[in-house]
Amino acid sequence: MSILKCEKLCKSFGKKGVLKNVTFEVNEGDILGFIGPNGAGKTTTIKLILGLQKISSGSVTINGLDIKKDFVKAIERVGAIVENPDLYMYLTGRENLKMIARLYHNIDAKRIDEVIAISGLGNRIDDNVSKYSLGMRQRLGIAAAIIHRPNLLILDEPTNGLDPEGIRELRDLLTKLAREEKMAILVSSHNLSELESFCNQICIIKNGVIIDKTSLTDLKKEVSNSQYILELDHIDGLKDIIDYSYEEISSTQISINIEREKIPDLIKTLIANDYLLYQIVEDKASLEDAFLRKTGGNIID
Amino acid sequence: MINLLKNEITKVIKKKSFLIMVIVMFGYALLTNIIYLSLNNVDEVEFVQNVASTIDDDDLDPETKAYNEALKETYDLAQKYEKSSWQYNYVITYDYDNLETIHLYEASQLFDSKIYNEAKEKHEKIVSLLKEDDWKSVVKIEMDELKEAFEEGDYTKEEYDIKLECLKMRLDKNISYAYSYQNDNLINYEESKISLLGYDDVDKLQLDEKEFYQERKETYLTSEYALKHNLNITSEISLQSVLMDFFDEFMLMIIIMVFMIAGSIMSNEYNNGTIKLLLVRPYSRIKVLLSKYLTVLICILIAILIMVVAELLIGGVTLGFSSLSNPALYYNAKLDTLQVYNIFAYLGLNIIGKLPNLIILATLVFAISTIFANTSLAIIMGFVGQFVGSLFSIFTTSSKWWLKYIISLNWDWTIYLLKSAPNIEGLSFIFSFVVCLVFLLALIIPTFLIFKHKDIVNV
Repeated sequence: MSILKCEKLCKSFGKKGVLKNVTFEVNEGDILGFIGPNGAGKTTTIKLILGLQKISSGSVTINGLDIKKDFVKAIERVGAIVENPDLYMYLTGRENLKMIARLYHNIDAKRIDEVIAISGLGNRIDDNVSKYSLGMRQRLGIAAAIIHRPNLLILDEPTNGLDPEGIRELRDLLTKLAREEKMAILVSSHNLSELESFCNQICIIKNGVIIDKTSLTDLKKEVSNSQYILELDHIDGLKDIIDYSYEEISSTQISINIEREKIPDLIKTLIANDYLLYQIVEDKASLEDAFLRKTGGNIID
Repeated sequence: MINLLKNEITKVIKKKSFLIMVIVMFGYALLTNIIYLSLNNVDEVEFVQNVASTIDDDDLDPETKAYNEALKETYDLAQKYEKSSWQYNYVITYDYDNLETIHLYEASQLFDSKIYNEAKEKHEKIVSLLKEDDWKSVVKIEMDELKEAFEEGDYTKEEYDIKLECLKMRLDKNISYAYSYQNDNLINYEESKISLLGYDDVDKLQLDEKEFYQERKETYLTSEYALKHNLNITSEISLQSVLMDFFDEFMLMIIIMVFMIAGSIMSNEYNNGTIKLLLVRPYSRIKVLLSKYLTVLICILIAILIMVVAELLIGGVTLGFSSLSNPALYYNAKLDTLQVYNIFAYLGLNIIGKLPNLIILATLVFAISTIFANTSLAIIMGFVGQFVGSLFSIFTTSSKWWLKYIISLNWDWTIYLLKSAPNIEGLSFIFSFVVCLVFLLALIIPTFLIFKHKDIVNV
């Protein structure tokens, strides 16, 4: 079931158009990675969805309600962080949560404790937010965004300021929310590799235009340029037995361009020639490179 | 909506700047009251000290020398008594006249003159009464003298009656000549009542004459009331008198507090990015802004309340609470009568009367803060508004037709609440109410419209 639907969203500041015909959907249980370089229009799109900026043309529908016509009802089941986890610095984490809780009908003290547990802030929840690190603020921001049990969660660059451990926790939390509470989640980022581990849908935006909408597996296939790294005991005489072109990385590693289907044959050849093969991995850096080639970088105009 | 309001008030009160401002207000009240306290301790009449500095110079002409000697003798005689005694005050206020006459006539060698002998006789009697500490007999001497003077035609019947009334009152009410509030009242009463004789039709007076008349009348009515009710106010500046002039003393502090809140309540949300947090809640933008505006209005009351409490506590401790039982006397120039209020009722009317002023300025600051997201600009414009507004208060007459449309001449309603008349002709409560309302709406409506359609961009 579709929770969020953006149709032909356009936004212009004066004569300058920053978004052109942005159309996408997020279904319940989906985690959509909204990816694009800086200045591509990710945050603008999110602001239009949340009614923070006026839509020039097109429509946003949340739970079947038009954001322009029915803002109050449409926004009721949305949780969001835009740009930064903006909180009141001179209040404690708990006070911040309590203030938000007051604005909804369905939040009791138990729920506040629940999200404090989710945020993992422990005793620090009663410290002033000004004493928090960016990562802690990010966690509190997410707790604040889900406190009213929304069915659409919109997170703008939530991985900013999180350490690898924090990113892993965020991934676990989001997948849990999507799976167990059937939440629809929209996560924006400029970094594909951070999202690839937990998004099931990808939407790429560049210069205000959606250039690709696909599932992650399809994208991987698409951008994969069949670059693999092989680690062997030595690489002497490889040239004679392999037909593919490759680059030497070190005395034991090579980077090879090969189609996925041909890899088993390559392994057989190597073993037959008494090479010891330690590992063979897809070149992640090149996945990012390929993605960048696809988006071609962003020209901010 | 109530919950939004609760949040807004929480945010304002929990800010450090709010706490600091409360401390500043208490500090200001403390400072003001300490200054008053030290003013009260300054000696009332330092007349005699000037006398002491006049030297006997042989080069002076006989007349000036006689004056100096009269002053010197007055000073020497007064010095024998405590400054707070009736003797001291009587000598420098009344007996000086006798001494002056004596010395002038002696200088002219007119020892046989009736006036000289009378003055000498009276002075001698008084000196002995000073020693006996019997001021009531002094009053009797004054009465006899007054009667004689009247019979000789020095005073009209009305003047004589007033003077006699005052002397009698002195005896009846046991008001000695010592420096005191009641003694002052008695003197003021006599002087103002005499100077009010001969005014027939007040309405026909020229403006400056009318002002003079009103001044006299106010003194007359106030002193009359104080005498009649035996008001016992011991010093000039008391907690009661400070509360009567509450806004003259503390308006600035209240304005600073109100501007600080009105100027930051919206722009802080923009500058910290929390506006986004606020606007993705299930409330329309109008409600969000309204809750902030109502918070500003509530904070006006809070600011006044804090200032009143600060003055009551600190003023009470430094100047004493006893003066609070004294009524507030207000001379109503329009009705030409004295109005008597309980001090808290009077303060309450003043607070309500000043509210339009505070509300309009706070709204101006709030509007600028909302539209331009700039705290300092908003606060500065608020002060500019107050300053420019006060410029117009120098107009005391309606010399220009457009004057009555100036907002600052309409935003102080105290005068209407006290049932008095404004200086500018053509102003009335209804008129001022409409002008204030129009001005307020002209600020509020565009602010709400702009905010409703505002794009929240990066900050």
